[in-house]
Amino acid sequence: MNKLKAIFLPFISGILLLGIWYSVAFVYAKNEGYEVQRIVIPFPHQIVEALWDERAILWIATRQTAFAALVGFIAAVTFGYVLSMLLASAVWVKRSLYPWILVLQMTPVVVLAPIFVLWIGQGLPSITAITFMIGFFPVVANTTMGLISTDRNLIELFEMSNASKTQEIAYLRVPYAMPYFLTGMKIAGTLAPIGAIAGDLFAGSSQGGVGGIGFMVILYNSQVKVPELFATAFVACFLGFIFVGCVNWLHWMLLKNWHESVRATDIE
Amino acid sequence: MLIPPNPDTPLVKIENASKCFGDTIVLDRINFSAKKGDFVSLVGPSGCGKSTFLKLIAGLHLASEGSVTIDGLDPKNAREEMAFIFQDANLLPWRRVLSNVELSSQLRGVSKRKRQETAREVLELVGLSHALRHFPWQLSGGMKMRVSIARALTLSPKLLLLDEPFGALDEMTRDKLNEDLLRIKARDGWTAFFVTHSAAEAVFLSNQIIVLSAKPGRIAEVINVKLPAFRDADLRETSEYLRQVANVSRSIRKAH
Ligand SMILES: Nc1ncnc2c1ncn2[C@@H]1O[C@H](COP(=O)(O)OP(=O)(O)OP(=O)(O)O)[C@@H](O)[C@H]1O
Ligand SMILES: [Mg+2]
Repeated sequence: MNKLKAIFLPFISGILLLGIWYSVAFVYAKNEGYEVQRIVIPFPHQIVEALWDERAILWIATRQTAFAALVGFIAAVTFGYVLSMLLASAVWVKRSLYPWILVLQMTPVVVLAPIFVLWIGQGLPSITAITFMIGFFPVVANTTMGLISTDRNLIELFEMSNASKTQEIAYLRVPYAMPYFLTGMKIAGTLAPIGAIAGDLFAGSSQGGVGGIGFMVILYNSQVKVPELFATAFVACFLGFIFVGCVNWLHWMLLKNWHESVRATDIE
Repeated sequence: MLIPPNPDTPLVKIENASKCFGDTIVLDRINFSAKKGDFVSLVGPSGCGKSTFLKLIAGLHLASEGSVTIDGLDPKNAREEMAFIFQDANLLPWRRVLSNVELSSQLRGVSKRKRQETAREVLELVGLSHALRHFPWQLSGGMKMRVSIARALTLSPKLLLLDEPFGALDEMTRDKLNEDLLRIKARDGWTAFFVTHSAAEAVFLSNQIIVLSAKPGRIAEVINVKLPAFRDADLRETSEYLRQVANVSRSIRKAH
C-alpha cells in the first residue's frame, strides 16, 4: 500500500504541476502572443521537441561535461584523501597547513576560475581543475575530521595489543573515518556536475564544434533559443541525478552492514 | 628462566604510585600487591580514580611518581600478559563477532587459521557460538560484553583488567556474567582487577576488595572476602555473603 502511494503520489503531483505550467504558459500566450510565450515560458511539449531536435549535440555536450565532472571528482576524492592522511599524521602538519587550506576554501572558485584559464588555457583542463577545486575541500574537511576523531577507547584497545602505527591506521583509523570520508565524497559528487558546468561557463570552448553543457547554455542564450535552454537544464538535472545516484549507491554498499547513517534510512 | 618462580612473588606490584593530571592529584601514594590468581575489586565514589588505577597497571597511563610492575616488568613490556576489558564493550562496528574476537591475535601477527580457531573456542566458552556472523549492532548489551570478554581471552592473558564491564547491564544479566566469569577463571586461572560500583558484585567475585576514597584517591581500606573459593549462584542466598555485602557497602559510604 505504501509502495503504491510512493509511486502514485509523485505521479499525481507531477501531472498537476504540468497542468499549472500549461495554464500559465497558455494565459501568457493569450496576452503576449505565441512568439513571445515561446521564448519566455515554452510549453513542456516544445521543450521535449527541442530536446529531440538537439539530441545529437546535447549528447556530445553531456558526455563532455560528464567526463570533466568524473575526472575532477576522482581527482578531488583521491587527492583529498591523501591530503587528509597527511593532515592527520601529525599535529604539527595539521597546524601548519590547515589554516591555508581554509583560506583557499573560503575563496570562491568562480573568482579563481579566470586565473585557471589564464594558467592552463581554455577547455577541458581548466574545467576539470574547477570541478576539482569545488569537490576537494569537502572531502578533506570530512575525512580529516574522521581520521582525527577516532574513539579514544578504541585507540587504547589497540595500544593494549601493542599495535604498530600502520596497524592502527589500517585496522582502526581508516575504517573509522570511512563514514566521514563517504559524506565528503557525497558532497563532492553532488557538486561535481555543477562544478563542471560552472567551469564550462568560464572556460568552455567549442573544441571540435561542440562544448560542454555550460557552453551550450551560453550558446542557446545568445541565440534566444529558450526551449533549448530548458532542454539543457533537463539534461543537466539528469546528469546530476546519475552522479548522485552512483555516489549514494557506493556509500550504501560500503556502510550497509554497520553504520547508523545507512541503517536509519533503511528502516524508513 | 632456570630459577623456578616463587609462588608468593606478587604478579602486580604497586609501590608508592601517584598520578597527577596537571595540578590535580588523582591517585596519591598507592601501595598494593596482588598474587597470581587473586581477584581484586576496586570500589569507590565516582571520579575517585578507579579507571586511572587500572590504566596505571595497563601502562596506558604512566605513574607520576612511584612504580608499577607486572611480573617484575614495566607494564608496557608486559602487555602480552594483559588484557583490558572496557566499560562499553568497545567492539569495532564494521567487524563481525568472529573477526572482532580475532582482532587481538591479528594485531600480534597470529596466522589466520590459528586465530580463527582460538576465536571460535573462546566464543564457545562465553556461549556465543551461534552469533559468529553477527555485527555488533545486532547484539544485546550482554552479548556485546561477552564478545569483549572473548576477545580478551584469546591470548590467554595472565592478568585481566576490567573497568566496570557490567555497569550498563540489568541485574540478571550481570549475575549470570559474574557466574560465567568465575567459571572461566577456575579454568584459566588468571589474575583480575575489577572496577565496579556494586558491593554485591565485588563480594561475589573477589578475594580482595580495595575501597578508594576520593580527592585525592587513596586506599581507604582493603577488605579480605572470606568466602569459599568455589562460588555459584546459591552463594548469594547465604547469610555470610549478605553480611559481607553489607560490610563492604558500609566501607564505601565511609570513604565518601
Ligand atoms: N586524561 C585525563 N586528563 C585529565 N584528567 C583526567 C584524565 N583522566 C581522568 N582524569 C580525572 O581523574 C579523576 C579520576 O578519573 P577516573 O576516570 O579514574 O575516575 P573513576 O573512579 O573511574 O570514575 P567513574 O566511577 O565515574 O568511572 C577525574 O576527576 C577525572 O576528571
Ligand atoms: Mg571509570
